[in-house]
Amino acid sequence: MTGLPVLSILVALPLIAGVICLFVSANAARWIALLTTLIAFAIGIWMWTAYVPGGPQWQFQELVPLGGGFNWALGIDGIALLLTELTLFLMPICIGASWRSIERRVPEYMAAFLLMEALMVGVFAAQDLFLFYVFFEGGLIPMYLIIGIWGGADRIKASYKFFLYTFLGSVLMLIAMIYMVATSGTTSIPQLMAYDFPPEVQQWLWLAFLASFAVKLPMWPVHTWLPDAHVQAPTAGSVILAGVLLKMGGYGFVRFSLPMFPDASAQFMPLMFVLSGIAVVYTSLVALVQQDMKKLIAYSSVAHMGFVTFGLFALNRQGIEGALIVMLSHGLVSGALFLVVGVIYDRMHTREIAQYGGLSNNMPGYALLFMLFTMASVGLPGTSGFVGEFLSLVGTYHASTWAAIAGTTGIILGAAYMLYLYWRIAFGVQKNADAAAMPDLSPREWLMLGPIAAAVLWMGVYPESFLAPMRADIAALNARVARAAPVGDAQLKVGEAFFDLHMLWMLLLYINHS
Amino acid sequence: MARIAVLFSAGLDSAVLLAHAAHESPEWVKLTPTFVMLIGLWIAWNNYIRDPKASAAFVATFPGIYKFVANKWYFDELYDRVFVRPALWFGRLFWKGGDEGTIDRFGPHGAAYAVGVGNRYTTRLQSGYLYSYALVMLLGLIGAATWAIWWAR
Repeated sequence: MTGLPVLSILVALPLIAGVICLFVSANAARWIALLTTLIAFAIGIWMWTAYVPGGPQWQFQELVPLGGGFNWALGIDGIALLLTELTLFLMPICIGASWRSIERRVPEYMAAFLLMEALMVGVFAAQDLFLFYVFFEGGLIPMYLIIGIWGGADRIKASYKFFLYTFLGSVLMLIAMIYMVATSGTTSIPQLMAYDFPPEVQQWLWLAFLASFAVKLPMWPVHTWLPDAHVQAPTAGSVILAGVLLKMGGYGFVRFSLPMFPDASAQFMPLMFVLSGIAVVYTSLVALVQQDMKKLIAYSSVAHMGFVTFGLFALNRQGIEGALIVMLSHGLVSGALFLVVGVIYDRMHTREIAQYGGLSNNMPGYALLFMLFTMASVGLPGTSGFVGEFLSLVGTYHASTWAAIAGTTGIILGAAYMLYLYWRIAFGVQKNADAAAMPDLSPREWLMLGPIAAAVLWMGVYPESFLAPMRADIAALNARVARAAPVGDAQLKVGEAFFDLHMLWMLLLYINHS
Repeated sequence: MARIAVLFSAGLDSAVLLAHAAHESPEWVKLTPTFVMLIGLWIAWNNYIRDPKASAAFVATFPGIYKFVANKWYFDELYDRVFVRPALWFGRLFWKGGDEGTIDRFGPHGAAYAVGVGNRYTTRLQSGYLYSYALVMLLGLIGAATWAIWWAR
């Protein structure tokens, strides 16, 4: 561990670059944003290698008192580390995706994105309750501007809906935070994670935090801002929204709801399972009938976040591991899917699925990558989606078999809507001459999608790389919630080992005999 | 070691049992696949080699059976009715009736509409006439005084 304030640098670097962007030409702003995000990503890689899995729970800690009870307290555990890496990884790709498609107010756009990056890193690194709140809420501002200024035709309505929806929930969270600080006498998140509030108080605090995180994630029935926001946002805005902003809701559950209010979490487990079950089935069915590509993927995001809440509130190790892998995987896959939509939107300027068809003929490279991300979204083994959804459902099954049945239905429906989408876009007859004349992926687009494809396969084939840094933190979290977790209805036990030498012997004999 | 030996002997027994079970099924069960194959072979030979017009004659005699088989037992249609259409119907119901018709209507859009309507009423209060403001102030004072005297003792 070095004395270098890495996390402060990761927050400050994009902030400074963002300010510089405002005073230069469009092209210079593009290059500054790209280089800054690449440097931040390089720092992130270094941070990952310097992070000691199984070492101290909080690493890269910094603490500067700001007076008045406020602290500049940063530090990350394994969970925050990986979510930070996801952010740093997606940012250069977002800048690349905006390279040509954004033509108006480029310096301001790049500044907004760099501000967004600083705030997102801040959310995952914050160790002070109010610092977290500032970063968490601050993230709304650049996203509000990105949708409202560079969005589609209906952008003003979508940006207001996004802002007011999420802000309303967060106000309740702020009230709960003030109460918590007043009672416990500390603003330090690590200390609060070990503080035991009385169970009857926990209920109210838990509900107040739910109001914020449920909207952010989003959970049914407070998800209706998401389709509008995604449809109107520019491609890179959608990528960040789906890739990182939604994960803040899940991160909030992991960092606050579960460890700080374990009794309430166990008490509200049925509520969370019902809401997750509805989310998974309901939004999957809605996704099936969408005619707008972005809306379809937006609804699929809500369904996938259902697996996150299923896994988290199963309150066991597999469930939490699965939920976190779903978060990371969905960050990559949904980001990639929005980029995939952006690629053809840039060529045809329509998101209507019916305008496309047969693209595998004229865009084979595109069809290949789109297929990979479709499969990852569906949860095909070998891709990241499988690992997360499988673990999450295993955990859910331990807690409630009915919930697991609802969740599994969602996987089937997920295959239905994603394959239906892929079929309508990449296969079939080419009925639109403009679509049939579109060129395949440019080198820039390969550079954007290729790394995500590699990461998706890496996470699918060797998830240990991603589970190892989080293992100790998940164990700690599990220990914290396990005492409150109710006993599940699936009484699983270790079976009698049947398939051993005995079985082999039997097979050999049988083959020999017949 | 003894344990393993027991395991092995148990395994041996069940393997023998399984092998026996495979051998003890009635003879006709084992011959069924062969018969079915032979029937197929005969039909194919009859319809393609001996008498190529026979298949057309069969279709003319039994149009129902022909259509049923040619349409793969209507399984695609069955699945379409049982799974695909209901799924799409529910999807549209949840989208138009649920998300747009209920959640948005009574949630954010409804709230925005209510604020708009409320604003129209409140703007009427702001008449700009001093006496109406004075009246409101007076009513407020009376209300506050009443509350202080009667209920807040």
